Amino acid sequence: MHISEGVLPLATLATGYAVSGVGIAAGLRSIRDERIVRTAMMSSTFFVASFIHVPVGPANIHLVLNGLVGLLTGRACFPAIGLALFLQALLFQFGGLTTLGINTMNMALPALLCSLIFSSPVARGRIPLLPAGFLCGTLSVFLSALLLSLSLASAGEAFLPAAKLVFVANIPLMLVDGAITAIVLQFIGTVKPEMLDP
Amino acid sequence: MIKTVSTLFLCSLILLLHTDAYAHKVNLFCTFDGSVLEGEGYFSGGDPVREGRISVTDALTDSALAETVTSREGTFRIDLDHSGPLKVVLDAGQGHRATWLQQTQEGNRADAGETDRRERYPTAKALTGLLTIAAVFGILYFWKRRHAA
Repeated sequence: MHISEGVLPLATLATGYAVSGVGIAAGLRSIRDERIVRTAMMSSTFFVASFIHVPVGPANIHLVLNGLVGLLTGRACFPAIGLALFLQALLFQFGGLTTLGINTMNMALPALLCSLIFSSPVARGRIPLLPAGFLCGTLSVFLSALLLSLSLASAGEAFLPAAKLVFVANIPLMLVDGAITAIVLQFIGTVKPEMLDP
Repeated sequence: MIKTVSTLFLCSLILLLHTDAYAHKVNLFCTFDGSVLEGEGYFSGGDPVREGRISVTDALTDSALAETVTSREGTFRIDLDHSGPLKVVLDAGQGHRATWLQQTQEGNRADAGETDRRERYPTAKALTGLLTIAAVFGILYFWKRRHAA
């Protein structure tokens, strides 16, 4: 899910930084005092989730959980995900600093969209938590993979096969992420349902 | 709030403990008498490396000589007629490897395996990341409180 440095053209990198910059600024303004701890918690979850590798066939994939982050933080998902990605780039060389903007955009934009779609129905109990969580987790990774592929495709025709491959490789991750988001959401709904309030 | 932060910290630690955060040191021990190469691979805890891939190459030319996998006991045996120094690599998967280099042509001195430990996700760095997140949002909290007053 992380795009490395030296691959994307300047226009794509600039777009990523512009969108992420606006998202982070809006997110920081929107965080209420009582939501700061929750946002920090979800940022930590996103940061740690990348270390959890799930064996799928001969390969390993790592969790993203951006749908869960979006659902629980709303607009604050941009600073939550942006900070986690910054630290991953700095400490573990996942992605890079020049691609931080586009990586943040690719993961936080779907998270925000999922928050807009699922947050209210989940809080009002209109959708059962398990299917809502599965759809949220699956859709967020699907959209992230789509944005990731489009970002790679913007680097030229030479990267089109890689863009397609990356999307296909992320299909198992969509299902795994969806299942884990569903379980976590069900757990939160049981032990601390007020966390689901938008 | 303190309770929530403590819960967050504990949850993160538990998650880290269940991941690849700790590298498993792999050891490789080999003997070669000029015709038979025997060896054993095991993790730092003493568990054998089961079905780990063994690659044998000439240490000087790097040309491949033989390949096999370790048994359930972590051992392997290869009949090999080779006079040059050997290099044996054990790939235990997920980036865990150990290399054994034959130091002498006679080769019946068992040299301790050179271990290549790849700590992909050092715990100290992960904890640094978590503490940084807590610090950044802590600063944001106090900054917001100060400007709201």
